[in-house]
Amino acid sequence: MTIKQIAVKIFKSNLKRYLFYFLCNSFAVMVFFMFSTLLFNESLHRSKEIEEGINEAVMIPTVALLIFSIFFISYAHSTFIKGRKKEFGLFMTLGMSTRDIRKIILVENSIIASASICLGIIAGTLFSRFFFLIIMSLIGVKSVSFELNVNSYLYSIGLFSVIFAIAVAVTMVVTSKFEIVKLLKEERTSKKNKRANPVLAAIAFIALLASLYILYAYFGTVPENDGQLLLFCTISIMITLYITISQLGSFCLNIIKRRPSSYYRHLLLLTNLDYKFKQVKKIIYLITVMVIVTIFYIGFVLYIFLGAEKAATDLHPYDIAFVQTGVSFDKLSAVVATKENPITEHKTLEVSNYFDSANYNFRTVIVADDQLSAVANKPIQVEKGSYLILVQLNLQGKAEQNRMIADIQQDLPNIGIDKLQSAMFERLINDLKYIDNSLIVLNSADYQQLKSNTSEVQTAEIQFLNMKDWKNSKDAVIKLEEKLSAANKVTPEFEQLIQRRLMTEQEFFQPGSKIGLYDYNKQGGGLILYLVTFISVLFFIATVIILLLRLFSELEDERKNYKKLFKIGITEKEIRKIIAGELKILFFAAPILGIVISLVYTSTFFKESGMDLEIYRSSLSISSVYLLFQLIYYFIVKRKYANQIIGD
Amino acid sequence: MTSVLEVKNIVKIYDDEKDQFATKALNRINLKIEKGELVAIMGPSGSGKTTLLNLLSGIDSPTSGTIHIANKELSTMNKEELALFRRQHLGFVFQEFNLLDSLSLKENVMLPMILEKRDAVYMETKTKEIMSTFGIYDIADKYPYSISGGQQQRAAVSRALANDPSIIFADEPTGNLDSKSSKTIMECFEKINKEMETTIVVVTHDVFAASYCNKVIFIKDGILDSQIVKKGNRKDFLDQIIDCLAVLGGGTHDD
Repeated sequence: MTIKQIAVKIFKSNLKRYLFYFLCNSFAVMVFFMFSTLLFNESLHRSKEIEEGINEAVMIPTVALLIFSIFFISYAHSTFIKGRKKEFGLFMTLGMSTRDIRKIILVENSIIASASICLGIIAGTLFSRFFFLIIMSLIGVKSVSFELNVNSYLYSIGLFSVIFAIAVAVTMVVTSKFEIVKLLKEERTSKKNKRANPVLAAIAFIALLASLYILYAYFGTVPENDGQLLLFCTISIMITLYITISQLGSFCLNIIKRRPSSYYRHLLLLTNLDYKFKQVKKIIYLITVMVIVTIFYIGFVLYIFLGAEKAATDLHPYDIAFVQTGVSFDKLSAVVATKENPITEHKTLEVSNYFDSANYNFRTVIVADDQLSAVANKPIQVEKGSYLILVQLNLQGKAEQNRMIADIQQDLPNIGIDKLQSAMFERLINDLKYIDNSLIVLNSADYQQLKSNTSEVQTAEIQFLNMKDWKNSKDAVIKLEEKLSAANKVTPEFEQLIQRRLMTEQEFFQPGSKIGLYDYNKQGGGLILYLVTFISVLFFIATVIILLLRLFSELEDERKNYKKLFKIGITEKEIRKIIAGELKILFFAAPILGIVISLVYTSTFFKESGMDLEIYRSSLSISSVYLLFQLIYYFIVKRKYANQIIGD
Repeated sequence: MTSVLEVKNIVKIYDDEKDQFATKALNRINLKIEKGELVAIMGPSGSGKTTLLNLLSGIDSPTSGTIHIANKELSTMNKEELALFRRQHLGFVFQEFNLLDSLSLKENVMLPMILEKRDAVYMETKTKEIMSTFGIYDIADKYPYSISGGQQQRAAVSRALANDPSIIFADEPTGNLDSKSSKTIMECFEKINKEMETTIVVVTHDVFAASYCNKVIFIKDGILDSQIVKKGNRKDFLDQIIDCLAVLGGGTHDD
């Protein structure tokens, strides 16, 4: 038997270990590659709306992903080397030198590294396309195109070559400290953390809190420095978080150890955690980082989605509203209504456009109180001889409101009614280009009189429709728009008005619909939406897979341990309980920590915006959904994993 | 004298799934072990020793026949009850020690008591008492991988004693040990047998280890062959066992 044959034999018997290492690496490369297709997507960079935001928006996941790659690969590498140490010990007993061992490590790792870079990039190329299609169908954004950039390939290969090289170099250095006796026992010696240093734990924890606070307090104060602040704080949060997890974790274990009664009660669980803590802490850290990114970005996606709907319903009380001139309502309603989506409510409001010839043909829109009440579904009464100002804006300050009222009063035409009854600041009817945000409301008798007496008034009817399902009214609105732009009659006064507004006629008569604004908002935020959905889904999947890899890499050892326990009389129920305890920490400690930190990021980014509560609601609901999902995932994995360990 | 262990007519057949070719590992074994006995079960490889021990300890179940330990019949218990029964009434010592690497020696010894949710102070005292008896209390905080095989096995014996078992089963306890450590372990068994009147059943290849027992039962091809009882000193008993094995045939040390 030649050395080569021996090598092949050893490889075959260790296939599982090699495979695990190989798959972990390929997975990391794939995730990074998929992310880089996003990073180097030209259409994202070209777009104006994202240009300013892109650096900041991508900063957190880029740092997180770099950390993920480094930690995940070093985790896989150390697991791999650890498993092989016994073999190295045996080789050394048979007379191999440290140099030979190094050669083996170098050759093996080079092969695995290049193979996994290849597989990772191939899988990444395929999956990123697939991923792109899924996200597109999920969020319906059409303004992004899929691109494969040569930079993605270069960066993935370059970055991972460096990470692998460092991992191997570290192992090379370690080999000089190899002692046969220790190597032979390697598999059994505990992977225990060094004794925790309470001072270091405290410093790291305080530094973590400080970084979070600085980020929250100073972000946005000097906008030019925000990018740097975000980068430094994110890096410092990531570093202190790791030290905190590793130090506080073993610190807590040590504290529990000092209380024998509770320590003994959970002996198996605690020692198991302690025994594997070196690796457990890496996993907890990785998952925490992934969760921070996932929750932050999914919360953001949800916010955009909910925001689009909320804005649409806020601005448009009725599903569709349009100005009808030159064509009968029956013809128009025939275009709108379908069997599946009929019109459920119809109201009409007559408006009078008063063109003030004394004031450069300034237009004022006047309506009657009884008609407006019917459309707005609330009682609005104007005394005879008085007028009411309706401003369909949500103006907050009293001063601003007064300024607005004064402006309107100044331009008020001479219609013989000049007693201001009151002013309303409220959205009552749909947002239409045709009418302004402000209307004058008169008593209906006054209104009729004005209409019949004044030749300067041009009346029109605004139709308000509610549909069975407004989200399905897109086709109807498009058809309606075509019909209207063909039929609407424009008087010279209106032509002047449209010109002054720098609009086209079609824009001016555009129907105001929920679906129109909803689509507009979603499309407008489309690039950002695509970006954040991509990041959050990618990171979420990564979390799920890390957990699985971790558990099933330990399966064999766990099975051996529980077999021993079984013989001395541990019941299946007790085994399941211990497994559950360990899984609980893996599955929930990290997500909860991650959610807390992601909330800090969320409040940092949105503290300036007015819709504070909405974004928190999105983040919190996404956190609950995440935890719920994690809970389900936990129950499934717990069952499967325990069954695998217990066997038949 | 009351019998701690009573085996009636047990048969164990292993079905070969491929060609329905059944192997009879044990054939109508009858056995009675009284309280306070120190018994060795010997026989050539493949004679059914390990099968018998697995049946006696409830890890495996017989095809037919009954096993009573401390007046309880094993076949009436389900898996969970058997596990509880094992840790409450039985002690185990294995050839490969079966200590958990993640636990210190002390914690390993405590383990059966911890499973029984005993009070912490009680566990501390009990552990100290047992471990001191076997001279391993000064290394109580060490981990299994950093001590010798003999010390590991003494820890395993201590663990077997933790819940004051009715009977201790030892499967080749000296199989992985050198002769000096073997001697120490057998002396431990002798000591607990005499001082605590614990019943012990040792399955072994090792004539030297068997000579520490009061009685040796020989099995061959799944059938009880013969048994001898110690009358004189250990040296004479050793010769007697060697003679019996010669008659029994099959290798002992050299298989």
